Amino acid sequence: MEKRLIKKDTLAGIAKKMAGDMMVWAPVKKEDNVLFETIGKDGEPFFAYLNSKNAPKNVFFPHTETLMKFTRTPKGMAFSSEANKANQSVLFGVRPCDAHSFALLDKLFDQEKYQDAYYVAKRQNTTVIAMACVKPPYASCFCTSVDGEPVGSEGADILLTDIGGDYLAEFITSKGEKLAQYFGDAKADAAADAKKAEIAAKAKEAIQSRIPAHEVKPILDVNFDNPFWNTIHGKCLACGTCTYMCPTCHCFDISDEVKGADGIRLRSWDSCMFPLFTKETSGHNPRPSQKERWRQRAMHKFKYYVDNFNAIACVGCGRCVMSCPVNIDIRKVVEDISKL
Amino acid sequence: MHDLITAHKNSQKRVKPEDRKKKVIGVVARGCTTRSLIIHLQERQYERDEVCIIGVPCDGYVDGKGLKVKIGGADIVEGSIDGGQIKMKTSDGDKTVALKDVLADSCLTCRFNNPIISDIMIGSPAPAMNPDAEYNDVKEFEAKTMEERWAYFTKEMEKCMRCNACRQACPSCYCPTCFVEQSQPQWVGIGEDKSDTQVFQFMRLYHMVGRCVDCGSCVSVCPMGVDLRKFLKKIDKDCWEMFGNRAGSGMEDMPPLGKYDEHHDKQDFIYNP
Amino acid sequence: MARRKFATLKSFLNYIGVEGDRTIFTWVSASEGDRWAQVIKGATEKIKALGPANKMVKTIG
Repeated sequence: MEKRLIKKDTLAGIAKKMAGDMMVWAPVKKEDNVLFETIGKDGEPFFAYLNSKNAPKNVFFPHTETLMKFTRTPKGMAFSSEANKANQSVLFGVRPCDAHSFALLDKLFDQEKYQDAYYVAKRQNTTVIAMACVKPPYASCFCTSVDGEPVGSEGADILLTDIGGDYLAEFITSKGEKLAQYFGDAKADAAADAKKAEIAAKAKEAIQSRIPAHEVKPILDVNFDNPFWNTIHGKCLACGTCTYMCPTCHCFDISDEVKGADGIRLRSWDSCMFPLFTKETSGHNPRPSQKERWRQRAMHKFKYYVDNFNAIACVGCGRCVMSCPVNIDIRKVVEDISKL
Repeated sequence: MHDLITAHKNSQKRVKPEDRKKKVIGVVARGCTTRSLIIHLQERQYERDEVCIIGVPCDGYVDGKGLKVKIGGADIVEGSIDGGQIKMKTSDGDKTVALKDVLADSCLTCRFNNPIISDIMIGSPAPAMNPDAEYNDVKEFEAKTMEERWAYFTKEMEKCMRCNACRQACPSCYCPTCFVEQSQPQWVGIGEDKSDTQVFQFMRLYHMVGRCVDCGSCVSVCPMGVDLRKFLKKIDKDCWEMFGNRAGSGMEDMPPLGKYDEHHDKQDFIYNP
Repeated sequence: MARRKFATLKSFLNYIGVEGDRTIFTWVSASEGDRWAQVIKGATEKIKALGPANKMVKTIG
């Protein structure tokens, strides 16, 4: 594996240089929020951030995406595809938990049987550069409980680790190596490796918040009707904040929008927390209350995804914990389930 | 507040009118909560004797997002209120801020921080806040040019990601089916198109004429920090200046859009009268 | 009351930056054909002077 050292203050310069050659997504400070946005050559990336407000999943799975266009012509409908229009791009500076989420989303959108052309095209054309958490940013971080690591490289093509004065850049995949030219030519030595290992161990240790994520699967298998489900949803507002902030939530809705003879088919995010999510045309709703919706969210993350893909659909970023307007804490929910 | 209406509706479901029993629900209410209750009562969502209101005076509550900005975005691990100070353990060391510096905007200029109606009152009345300044922001915004105002509106609406938290938290937003969720006809697209978001927010805001009690719920739940209050307060100001009404400020008042005052309502908005 | 709704709507649209003159409200009786023509004529001129509306207008594609 190719490894290099780069000076700390050159990082923003590297991102900007890349932005001259391709599309670069980087954390940007926008008023009080840090968000992932595309930066131009003159854009100012903000790397001194804890973690971005929203998950960077929108790079591959945008909130709203045009699937196809259609036009009514005298000869019938004319359709045009919108897939595979992804440009070469770089996602610069995501946290390892978010990079991990891409590996999880790949399992769904890029399976053998079903391939989502829109997601896959963007994913293949994007190089993910992760920035390790030397110090866990939030008290609500729990990545180590869900197969993640604060200095982990799962889902990333390049991993940057702050080892004091320099960044250690590790080129994990061949896709990452193609960008090596931007990272100078200072080769990393064994001392840097040792330093990184030490930092990684320390960071892992520093994550205080732990949940029994793996233990709950067999419990969830047999407790679909447990009265416990009556106890968590009481204060839930039925807003979509948790699912929209979540790096792994991926449910979507498809709708057509037409104006005159032209129309587009859109895919946009949906949320299992919305009453409308499961409402049928007849008016019947198989998940009539917030209880069933909450059970679905917990089950999907910790049981169904494990059943389908043998992985927990949570990366422990803590965004849902921090942004829930009524402080429902998924860590507490999992903890309580483990005691059933 | 939603639960209250839902609970009442559920208790009356599939019950013949003559068999209906009153279900009394207790509510612990601050000033703004009682205003919402008055609006519900005026809009006949339940009867006055179906709620038991336990009134509590209110000194305002902390604006969580503002607090976070104040301490430079650090992660708050633990906190306590001691006198007029908030003491916190954060990822960036121990921090202390004055309570009055981080109160929500709606609380700082609150006119009704003591319950307007109640069955039982707890505690002694809270000292007045600073209601004279309540429209300062709006006045400042009104003085800007048309393009500046439009630029601000579009900038704020671009933050919105359509999670509906504002609608869900709002005590006055209780339509069984929100216009956003109607599909025949579809009022507004479900995507993140700029115009769709603007129309969604505009319509929701405008539905608050005579109904927004400035409780600050929508602002405090918004994960993206959209400045909704700047617009809601204008609606409140118009309602006061045009019709002399403050939403939910008294049981005797009719909702302002439900009546008309021949002698005092202005005519100047009518084209070619 | 419709008139109160229009008064606030006009004011609120103007506040967010949509020209207040675009919101036009008036009374016309079914028997006032002449007045109806005048109102529509006046309204059309007013709107034409403002140019095409492009705020909160959706484009597809």
